[in-house]
Amino acid sequence: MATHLITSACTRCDACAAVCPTASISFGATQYVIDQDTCTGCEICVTVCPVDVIVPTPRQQPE
Amino acid sequence: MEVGRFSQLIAEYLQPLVPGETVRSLLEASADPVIRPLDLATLFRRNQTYAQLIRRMDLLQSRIAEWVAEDEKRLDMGDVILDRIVSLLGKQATRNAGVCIGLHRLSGTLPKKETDRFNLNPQDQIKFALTVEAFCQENSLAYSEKAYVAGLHYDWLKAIFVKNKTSKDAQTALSNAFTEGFEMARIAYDLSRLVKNFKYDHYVFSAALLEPIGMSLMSALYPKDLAAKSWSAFIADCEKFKGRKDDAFDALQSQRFDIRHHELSALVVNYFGILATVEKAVHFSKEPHFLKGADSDLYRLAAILSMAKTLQRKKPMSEVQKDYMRDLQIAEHEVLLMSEEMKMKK
Repeated sequence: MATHLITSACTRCDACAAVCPTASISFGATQYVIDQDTCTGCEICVTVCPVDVIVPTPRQQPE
Repeated sequence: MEVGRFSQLIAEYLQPLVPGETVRSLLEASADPVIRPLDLATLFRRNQTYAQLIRRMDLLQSRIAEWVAEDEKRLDMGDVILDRIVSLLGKQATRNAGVCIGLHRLSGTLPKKETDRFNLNPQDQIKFALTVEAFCQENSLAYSEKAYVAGLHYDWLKAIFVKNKTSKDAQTALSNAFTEGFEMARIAYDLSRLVKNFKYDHYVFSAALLEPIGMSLMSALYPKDLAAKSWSAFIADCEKFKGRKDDAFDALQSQRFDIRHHELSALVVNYFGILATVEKAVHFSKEPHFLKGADSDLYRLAAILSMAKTLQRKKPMSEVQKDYMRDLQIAEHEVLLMSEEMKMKK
């Protein structure tokens, strides 16, 4: 379920990874990333992000 | 599908932990001969966890540093690196890497901090899948990619067992089920070569490999209220029937668990959602004749599984199975020959 993603403005503070109830946030090559398959969209990470870089995934237009 | 008391347990146990969309798409794409390695990079980009973690592998860090040094100011360097990694690894290794990331995700061992090291170890993480794929390739068996996917069911289930701290008994049962399935798959493949104009020949190996996987789940979710205290105690009970232990095993399963292992195997395949055709064939592998009027090719696949099981148990074919042989136009002496050859190899 693709719901949220972390933009490149991430400051790598680790706040989001620590609170994710499904452990869907990990540190990738350059920043924290959300696993789109397992994110449930609970938005706890959104509330703890100090720089507001976690945003809803843009909805795909139906083909 | 009526599956008895296990259905609810299985749903709670498996459903949240089965492969996600990215891994499923990756398996589908990597098995498609038309898809190029670079297309897999596009697939990874849909889920940034995979796109970034592929670039995070310790193994590739020195090479990635060289690429970055080439053009440090390039804004799309992340995408360029991903494309180069996928081209460098090729389809099979990229698929393995993606699957291993999925397994790390399941086990909760993805890097949480910038300083955490990140290594993939396919030889250990996807041992069953690689074993059957290598076997198919070395022995020139067709459809090794389907065999890989079937083997991956065992690897994934093993990771689920570890995550859920399932008993050693269940982990042993998983290895035993794989050994039995592997043996059955080789027999089923040989049988399928005797069948002409068979539409589902590409599913034979994988279906037979997956037929016994349900036994490991029976062990993992063993009900505490049964007479035998554990799965191994249950097996020991069946062993007491000596010459008829296989019949006892089948009968006692229905009686004590309210479901038979192949029905549970079909459920596992259903939850994984990658091999739908295999699910139906496995579900009806004890009673293929139920499929006879509905789908003749599926009936033939289920009948091959039924016969392969009997040969794997080194038992003679039943009268019903002789009917299957006639339906499939397999000569009885060819099966007898196969059976004798197997005994000789032993």
